[in-house]
Amino acid sequence: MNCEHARALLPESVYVELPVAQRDELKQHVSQCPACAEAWRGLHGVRQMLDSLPPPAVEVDLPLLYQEARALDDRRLRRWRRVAWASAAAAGVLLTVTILRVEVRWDQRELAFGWGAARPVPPVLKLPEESPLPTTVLADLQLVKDLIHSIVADMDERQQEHAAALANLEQRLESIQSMSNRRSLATQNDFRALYTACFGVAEKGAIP
Amino acid sequence: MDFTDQALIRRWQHGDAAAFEAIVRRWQGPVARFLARYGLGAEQTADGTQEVFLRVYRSGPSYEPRATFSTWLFQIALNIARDAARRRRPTERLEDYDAAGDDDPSASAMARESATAVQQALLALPEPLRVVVVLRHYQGMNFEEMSQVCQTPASTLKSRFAAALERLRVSLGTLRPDFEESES
Repeated sequence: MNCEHARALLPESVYVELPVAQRDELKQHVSQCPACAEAWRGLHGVRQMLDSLPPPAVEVDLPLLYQEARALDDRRLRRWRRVAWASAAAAGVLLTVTILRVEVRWDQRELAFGWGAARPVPPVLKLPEESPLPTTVLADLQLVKDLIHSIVADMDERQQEHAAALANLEQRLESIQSMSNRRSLATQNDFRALYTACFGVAEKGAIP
Repeated sequence: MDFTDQALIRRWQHGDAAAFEAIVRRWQGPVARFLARYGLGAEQTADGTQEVFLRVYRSGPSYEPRATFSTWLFQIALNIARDAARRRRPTERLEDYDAAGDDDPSASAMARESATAVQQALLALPEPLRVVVVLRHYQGMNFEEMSQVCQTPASTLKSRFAAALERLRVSLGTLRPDFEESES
């Protein structure tokens, strides 16, 4: 056995019985090798010194232990109870919201609650994206536009003509009426003169 | 009657409160020693021991014996030790819990001095090495059991153990008692 092998076995040899052959080999080496012998003595000394430490005088306080265990169990139970209550409350709220279809919204600086059917959401009109029209269509549109303008101009012109003709007719109607009045007055005068001539007196009720 | 750990656990799981108290009486010393040697102060050790058995009490009903009870117990203890180390308070002096039963004041002072040096040497070890020493030396676990506690391969733990002892041998060299091989 060499020193390296002996040093590897020394720590364990201090604590356990090595197999007989190994122990004898180690003993023989240690008896011949002062360095290993010193190491061997040193390790035994360490073991003795470790043994010299007094054991601590500690005694478990069993009543306190039972009390602490009960307190911990109570605390755990309370924690579980809180979790259970919180879960039940959350489930209740969720169920209420789901069944009643509760709606909470913040709208124009007002907090609004609602339940029942949800308000119909107006459909969002989606405008088609503008696409350039073909030139021919644009030309046709321009033609239609010009046509409409000319029709409007023509109608204005006709309307002015009609208005002038109407004014002319009104003027003629007024002159005919005036002439008719004059003739009627002349006829009355003639009739009155003829009555006076025939009967010598003015017609009764006639205007003098 | 001296029940095994598994038998006590089964009795406790079937409602025997005395079985749990027997488990506590059996393991409170080793757990406290583990926490103290891990590096917790006296107060943290007491609190940690209480916490370990509180966790055992609360998770005991669902405990299934996939490994030995001690493996499961020290997994809990290691987690608590690591948590406590993260929010470490200034470590209490060793005298707080070691001065009992020595009539000779000078011998007592020397013992305290030596114990303090050993504890400081342990504390100076990196945590992975310290855990291995504590489980191996104070709990007498083999590397397979330690592998389950630490979730680390046994071969790695073996190397760490050798390295830790070597460091302790160097750091405690001046304090070391003159050890003579009795069997050779």
